[in-house]
Amino acid sequence: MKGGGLRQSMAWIHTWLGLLAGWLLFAMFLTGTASYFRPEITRWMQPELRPVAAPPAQAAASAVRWLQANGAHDEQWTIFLPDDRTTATRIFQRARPPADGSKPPRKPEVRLDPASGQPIAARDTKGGEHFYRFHFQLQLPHPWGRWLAGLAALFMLGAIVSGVITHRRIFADFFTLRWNKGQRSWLDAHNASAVLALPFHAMITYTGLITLIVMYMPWPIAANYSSPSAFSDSLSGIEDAGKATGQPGRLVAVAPLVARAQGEWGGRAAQIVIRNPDDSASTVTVRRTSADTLNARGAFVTYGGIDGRRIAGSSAAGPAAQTAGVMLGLHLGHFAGPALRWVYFLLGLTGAAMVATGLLLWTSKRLTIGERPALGYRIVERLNIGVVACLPAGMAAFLLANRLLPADLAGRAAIEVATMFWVWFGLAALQLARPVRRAWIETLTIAALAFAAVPLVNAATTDRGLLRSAIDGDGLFVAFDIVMLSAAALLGFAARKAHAHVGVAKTRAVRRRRRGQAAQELADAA
Amino acid sequence: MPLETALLGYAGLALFAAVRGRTPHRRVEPPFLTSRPAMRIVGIVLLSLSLVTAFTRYGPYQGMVAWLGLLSLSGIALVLLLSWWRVGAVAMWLPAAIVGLSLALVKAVTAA
Amino acid sequence: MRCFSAVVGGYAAAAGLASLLARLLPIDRVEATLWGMLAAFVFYAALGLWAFHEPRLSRVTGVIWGIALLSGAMLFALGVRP
Repeated sequence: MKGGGLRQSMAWIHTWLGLLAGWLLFAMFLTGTASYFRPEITRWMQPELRPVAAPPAQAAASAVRWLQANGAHDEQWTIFLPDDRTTATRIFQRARPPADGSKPPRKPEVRLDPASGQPIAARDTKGGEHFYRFHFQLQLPHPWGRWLAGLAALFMLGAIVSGVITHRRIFADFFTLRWNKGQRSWLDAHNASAVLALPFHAMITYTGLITLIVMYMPWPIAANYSSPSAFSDSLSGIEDAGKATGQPGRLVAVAPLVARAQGEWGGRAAQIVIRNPDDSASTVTVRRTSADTLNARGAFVTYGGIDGRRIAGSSAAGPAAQTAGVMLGLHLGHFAGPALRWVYFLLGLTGAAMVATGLLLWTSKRLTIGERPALGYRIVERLNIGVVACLPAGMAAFLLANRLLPADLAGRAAIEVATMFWVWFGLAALQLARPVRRAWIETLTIAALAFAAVPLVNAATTDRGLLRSAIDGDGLFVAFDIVMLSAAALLGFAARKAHAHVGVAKTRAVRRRRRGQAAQELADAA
Repeated sequence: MPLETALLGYAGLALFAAVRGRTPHRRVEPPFLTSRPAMRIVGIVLLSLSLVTAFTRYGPYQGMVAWLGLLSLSGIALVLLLSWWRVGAVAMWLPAAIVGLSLALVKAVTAA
Repeated sequence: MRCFSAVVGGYAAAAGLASLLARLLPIDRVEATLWGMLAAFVFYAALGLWAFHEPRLSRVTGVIWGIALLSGAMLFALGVRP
């Protein structure tokens, strides 16, 4: 098969890959896009906090002080230092396994105020972390969510390649967008959003697969290494961590080590790992931030914990390691400053729009008026509403729950998350009782109202409403409200379009039937 | 904001959109440029300038990422505008180019 | 059968090819491993798309599972990189 044959088979693949993975991909695009503002969302969700930024060395010192009082005998401390975006120090502790060899209980994450070194007193919330986790774990038990996300990403990759092969012609035609023309409009919109942001779509899909490559494709490791940990050790360049000697030892002051490491790189420290903190063989590893380089794998230096002697540092990465690091960096977008972060955000929305228009194109292509549509068609139609319109409503509900639940309610973080899914799936179930057109209009309207309610509820329940924030010059809260209002406007616009569509749909259906079989086939081929 | 990159990119893409209009009744003539080869050349020059501004601001690696990203967004803005007001969207190439160029010049002068 | 070959067989074949590449590239061990991993999804996507393009099912199953088995056997014979 050549030429037309290839195009046809690729068109077929494109359609079915897109349809099967489409709903999942839409959810991944939307939550992933929100994740570019993960720290900002978290800060918005703890409005009572107005933390003051602290330099890394000070945050390190205050964190170690707290850890020595609350876990001096742990096996390992991992400290994530704050930067200009995250204003809390995050701490993870791993307890030393008891003598009987049983697994020690997992200690929960602790968030400290970097200046005072005391745990943050604010409402319990998952914050932006929720969207980030959902983006690749899909709220499913480990490891199924990650595998499913990987499969969806793989389908996306296949859909991109087959889409490019099928629609070579659209590269000439992607400037065209015609409104209110049913199938034609969806095709135009799908083309425009797909082709114009094609570099982003291709990049984000492939690099997304690379972020979890060690899980998805461990076989090359097995071919070269007798144990997976040998690979990760030689990749990171970290020497064997060294066993605890059992001799007690006193940890040196960490702040000067952080300062020394930063002097060595000329960049900020982002993370500290302290092993065996109360042992004579303790080590302190300081890792550099990746917020100013494309490569997401930062350099590191390891010091002896007793004498502060420099033990090891990261060596220059080879081309493959650099490629992998850059791919990771491109996906996460940590390197992006504020302007580029907004570019990423808007491109992510374009991706969601591309998936959504593709899904709607599938139904509008197969629209038959008069006869009862097939079961499969009706399922697709309903799932489109249930994801494209109901997921945004669920996301808005998550934010609303953050403001409306009492700040000291037990287990409120989990209730916030549950709210999102109850609203999402509940709305998706309720719309089944309505005719399709009405269901579109109503769910979109509900989603728009939910987003519009966020700034109002925020103003009513906190002292950081839009006006007040604008006066205070609080850019984050102002921007958040503006994004919420824009989302509301966009969804409202979609609802209006869906409403206007009801009237035209009937006359157009008559016209379409008259056009006859030949014209229909022509349109299908396009 | 790397506005100059986006504006120059918009101007270049708008000219290409004008070149692309294949059927006569859909073709739109941009102001000051009537011949297609001229549109093409000016379009290429504007897109290259846009790339240069991204490089000077972000360096070659992040610059490439930034340029592609901003160009995509300019393209989407152009498509939305074209669907709304064809003539105006294409005519906008001139103000976009002028503002983009002056922003780039201001940046170059203040840097020097 | 076609879907199964494309998804499962394609994965096996891609894993085999990527591992073979990682095992045989005459460069540093970490680097070779990483190149294999980075390229794996190119193989997977290409094989998966071809599986739906090729009209003869026997050829699809033969080639995909053939690659998977052959590369697997070669890897087994070669063993872990010394």
